Amino acid sequence: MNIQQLLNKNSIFTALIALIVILIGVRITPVSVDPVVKVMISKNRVGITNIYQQRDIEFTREVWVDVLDLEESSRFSHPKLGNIATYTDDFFVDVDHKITVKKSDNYRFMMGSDDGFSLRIDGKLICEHLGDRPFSVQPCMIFLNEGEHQVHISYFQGFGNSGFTVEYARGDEKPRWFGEDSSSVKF
Amino acid sequence: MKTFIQTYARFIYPAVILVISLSIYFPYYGTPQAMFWDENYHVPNAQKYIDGVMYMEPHPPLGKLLMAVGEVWFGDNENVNKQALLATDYLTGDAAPPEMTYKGYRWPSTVMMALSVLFFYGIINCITQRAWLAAAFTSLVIFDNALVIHARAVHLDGIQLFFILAELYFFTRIVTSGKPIRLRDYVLLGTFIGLATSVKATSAIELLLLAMLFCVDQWNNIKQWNWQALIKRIAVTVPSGVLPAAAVFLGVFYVHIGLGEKIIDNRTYKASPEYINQIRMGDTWSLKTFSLGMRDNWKFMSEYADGVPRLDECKPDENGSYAMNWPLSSKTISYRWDKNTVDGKTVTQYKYLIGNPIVWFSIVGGIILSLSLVISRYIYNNPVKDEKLFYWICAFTGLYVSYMVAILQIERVMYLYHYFIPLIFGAINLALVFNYIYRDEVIANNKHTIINASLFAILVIAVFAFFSPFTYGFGLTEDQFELRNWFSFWKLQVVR
Repeated sequence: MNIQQLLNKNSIFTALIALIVILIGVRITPVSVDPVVKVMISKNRVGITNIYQQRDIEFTREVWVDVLDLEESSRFSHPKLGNIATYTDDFFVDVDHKITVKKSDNYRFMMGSDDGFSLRIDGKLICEHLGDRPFSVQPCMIFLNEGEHQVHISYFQGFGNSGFTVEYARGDEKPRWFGEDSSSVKF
Repeated sequence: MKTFIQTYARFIYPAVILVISLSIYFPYYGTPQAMFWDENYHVPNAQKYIDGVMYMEPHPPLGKLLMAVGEVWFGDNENVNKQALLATDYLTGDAAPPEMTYKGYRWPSTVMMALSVLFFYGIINCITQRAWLAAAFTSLVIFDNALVIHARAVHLDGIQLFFILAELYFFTRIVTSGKPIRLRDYVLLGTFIGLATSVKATSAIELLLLAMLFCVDQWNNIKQWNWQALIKRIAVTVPSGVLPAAAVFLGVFYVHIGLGEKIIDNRTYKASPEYINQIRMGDTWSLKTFSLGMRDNWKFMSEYADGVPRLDECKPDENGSYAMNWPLSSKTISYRWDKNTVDGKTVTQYKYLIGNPIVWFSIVGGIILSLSLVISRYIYNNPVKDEKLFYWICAFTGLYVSYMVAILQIERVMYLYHYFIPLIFGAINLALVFNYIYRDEVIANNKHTIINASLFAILVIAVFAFFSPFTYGFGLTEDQFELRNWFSFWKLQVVR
């Protein structure tokens, strides 16, 4: 069979249909990411206005993400996974993750949240924002020795726009997403 | 078995198509048990016929008359107090009796749209003489999400499309019969044009079919410019086509005016004192009342049309859209949504007017191809390989373009479903363009061509199924919604 026989009108039509099917398949295939950080998302029964508010949990779900980049177009949303909370209002997010610091130094944690958050490392409160706010990023500084450290982050979304991001950087290095390995930190 | 199929193939295809069509259009058409979009207007107006209450509104009355028939036959609302429907032209959800069902009002549009696919099949089968080709392309109408959601409601468009497809079917039957065109053919066509126009005024575009029928009828005289014979024929064919259309249109209004025997809450719709007086005298079926009522209804329709706002793209909740965006299913309309939390997940049941992208985009592709064909013939003088088929393509492309040009002249706000008529023209055109491109293969019943047509139909069905949560109101999470949000120009909006 030569190329001219293959390239007839019928074959072109079949190829066109196959191409459309592939394009649709790519568009509608649910995406997946590396499971690096476990995120616990808890839906509260009542409105949330403070990160330390007494919780009245209705449902909790566990989602694994690659990085803590959960803000897109003023919404709590992962760039690939979308809204991993599935809720839009009144939920808490908890991250409890052990990191390995390879080099002792000053570290910056860039905490972005809409609404509140708290960051604890090895049980010590590093920084927090208690109530509602539009999405803002604030730096939190800490000196970390080489070795393992337990990081606990809590975040809450009350009503309206939302978003939650965490980046880290050693010294003056360029920030990386929490969950992204570097020469300084392993997740 | 093979002999049986060959013997009864002409019945098997339509029977299978009808069963499939009914299974797509009918299931749960009574849900939601609440009104959406124009149902809030049509339900109270249809009820007014049942209770003999006079009213006026911008659309001709046939659609609502049929909805009233559906309610009387299948309404299942015998014990419901529907007094609230008579005192308003827009029934809010809160004002509607909570136990009322909408199955009866929705029945005519649903059943007529489901049946109209047979006309669609018949049109393509008549022209191409290939049942498999007609069956494959009938999937364009059965499995279009926009047609299905809009027709399964108390809307006029399913009823209108039934009459339009009937007109087109009889037109193709007359032209392909090979017999001389008679005056009764004009009468038949005019009657169906009158019926379609009595549902929605946009059907008037179908008057072009009478002109086309005349061209086919007098093709030899046109080619020879035998103007005397042409004028002689025009003198009889125009009345033969137009008078039945006008008679049907006026006849429908006669019934509409005759049924308006009561005035409720002094709602007179700016009717003249003479007309009101006739109603109060109980003389609604007389010719005098018809003449007064027709004049007042016409005036009301004109004034209403003048008062409809223009498209305002800057308005945040604008549902209207520009006609040139319609072929790509823009802009979609959210008819209704219900948000629930199930097992910790927020699930929203949407009723969204959105076209099956495979259907709508293919139709645009077909129009581009057919326009290219017409240009290549008349600008570049390229030969055509099948003259009859070429003229059929010209006819349906011409109808599509004429409708779009006409609609672009309208200044009032228009909506995506106003594209349904050209969508039907375009769907027929697509089948014909396919037939033109694969003419030799179609004639030879080439297996690869049959498989291709089947693959196309399967793709249409699969994409319909994927978008069906928007059509039938199946629950979707936000992520599932986003998987279906393929293009920003659709302007789909997730409920948060």
